[in-house]
Amino acid sequence: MKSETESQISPEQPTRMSEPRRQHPVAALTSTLRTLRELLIPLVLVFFLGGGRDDGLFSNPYYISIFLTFLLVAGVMQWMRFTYRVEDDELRIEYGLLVRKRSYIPRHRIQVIDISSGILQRMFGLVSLNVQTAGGGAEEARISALTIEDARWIKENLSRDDSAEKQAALGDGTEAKEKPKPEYRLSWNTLFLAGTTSGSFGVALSIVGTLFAQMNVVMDDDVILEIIDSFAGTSATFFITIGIGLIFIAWILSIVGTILSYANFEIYKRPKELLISRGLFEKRQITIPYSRIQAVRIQEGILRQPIGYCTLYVDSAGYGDQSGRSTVLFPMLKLKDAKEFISTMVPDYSREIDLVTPPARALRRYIIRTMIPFAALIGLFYWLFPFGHWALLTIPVAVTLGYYRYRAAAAGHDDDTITIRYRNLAKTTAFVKRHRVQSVSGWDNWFQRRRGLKSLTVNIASSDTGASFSALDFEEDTVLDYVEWVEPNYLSKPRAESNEVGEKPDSDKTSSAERLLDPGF
Amino acid sequence: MRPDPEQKIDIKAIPAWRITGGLGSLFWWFVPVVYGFFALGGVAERWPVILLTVLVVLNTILQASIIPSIRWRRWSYQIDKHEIYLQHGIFIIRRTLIPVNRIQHVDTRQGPIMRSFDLSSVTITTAATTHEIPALNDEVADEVRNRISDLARAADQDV
Repeated sequence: MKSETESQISPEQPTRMSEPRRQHPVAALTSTLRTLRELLIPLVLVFFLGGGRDDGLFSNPYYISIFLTFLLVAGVMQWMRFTYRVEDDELRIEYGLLVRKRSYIPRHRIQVIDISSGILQRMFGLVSLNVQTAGGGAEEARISALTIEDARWIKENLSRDDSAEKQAALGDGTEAKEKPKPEYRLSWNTLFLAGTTSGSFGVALSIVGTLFAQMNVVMDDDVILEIIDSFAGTSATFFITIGIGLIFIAWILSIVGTILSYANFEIYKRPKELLISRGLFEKRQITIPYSRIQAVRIQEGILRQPIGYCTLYVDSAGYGDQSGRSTVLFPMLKLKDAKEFISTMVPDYSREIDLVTPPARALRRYIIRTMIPFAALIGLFYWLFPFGHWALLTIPVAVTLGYYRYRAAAAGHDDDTITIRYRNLAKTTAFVKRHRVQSVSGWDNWFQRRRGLKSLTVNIASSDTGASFSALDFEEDTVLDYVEWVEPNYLSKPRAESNEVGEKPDSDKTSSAERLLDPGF
Repeated sequence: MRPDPEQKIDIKAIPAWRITGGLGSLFWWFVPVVYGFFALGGVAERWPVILLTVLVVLNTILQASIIPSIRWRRWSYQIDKHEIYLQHGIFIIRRTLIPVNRIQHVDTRQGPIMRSFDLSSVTITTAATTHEIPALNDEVADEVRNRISDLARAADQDV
């Protein structure tokens, strides 16, 4: 069987692949670096939060070099123990320092063989090879450094026969072309635009803030005082300058972060799944089976909405040992192109649904709800800082945000899809299939009851805890209708009910139907 | 529109909740006590001690008297062939629909206080959420659990 395959596809490659072989020694280095990267966050924390003092473990270069040597030795040993071969139509990998592990992956279970190369590999003219199996997650195998010929040989001999597109693509030369054509890809211009308008801004800001607060660990107190003195102006000017500086650094960081993770973003369509590939140095591939999709979301970030762009997300349920998650389906897309994108990539979710919006009397609740956290923050600032009264200036911001939240709120359903539009900061439009709804609630508090309003919450299975979408302060009847819509036999129901239940006036239904059509709402 | 769910939970829930709610609310007493220590030590202002004490005592009184009856009055459920309806809540009233074919498992559970009242609760779990019908008579709880699990099995075959 083995020799047959070989003679068919690549006779020029002898049987050498059936011998256990090591990776290129560069693999020792890549594995060391990978360990180091996995430890990066704890190391940074130890360095900045714990080890700044003289007795700190990582203040001593001696300890650092011992630590690095230890990692390097571990990497070399891992390289020595790692062998791979192709035998009996299986990729056989054996590895492990103390416990010897064998991972035999038969050809028919292999879904994707991905050849890529990072900086180190490129320097030595090598590639890395990644094998993904149907289960995803834990079963996948990785050979970090091997020659491009070997990688191609493995790919040719272990790719599944039924995958016509893969076979077709095999003939091409370079690694980038070794794939079917992506349905959509992200251009560098759009990527940069995505970085500048990225929402990870706030995260970056908090990181920069933390580092800044740790500044006195790295710098002498006198130096800091000198710097402060050099900003001879009032304390407010000083803080504003520092603030703007931090925001700028955070902004640059978020651009870099976006470019690192979303460069070369490509999305491919397969018969039963979507394949996403992205990343600048480290390439990540994500497979999303259609059968696992729980919801599709269009998110218009607060910086992206004004320039007409949005981000698409998909929520998927866990399978195997892979937990469910929310995945970026496309990081940056013109809103007007979103419809076409959805109808190409996730056609099930391409819907024209009439939307209902909350009644005018809900506006007050939207504004008050938005102001509550602001009020808490203002109180805190007022109490903590001498110039805290400036925080009062955020009240108009809160009112405006509340108004725009009200404007964004909308909901609608057709026979099998419900859509809910809402805004926290970003405006989000979520689409959920009826048979993906795990449970649905219509709820109201005392204030809402007084005004005849209700809120709707739809729960879906995504990530470990599930996710939910809410439509707040809609007409009571609308919400109750939406709750009933989730009933599996909703479609066959209304007719039967209106015949049976005599005392309930039909006006309920006509009024909600009118509301669906009335653009004034 | 659909009327409220038909079934009420067991009326013995009220005395049972008075005990569990009353005992549970004692937990909050540690807040004024701990704060009181600080106040006596001169680290904190004294007047919040009184405020906090009033609040926790009031909470215990309410939990042991009126709240269980309101909660009982608001609780209703209905198990249909294709869906389960729950309605409950004191300040926020919530009506929840769980499609039967989304149910992953259903079980009954019983704490020591509930056991002395022969009450059990039924827990319904979907891939995303967990719901509880509290305080059903033991036999009713078993019946409800079996019924839901039968329905869920049948529904799975349908889909």
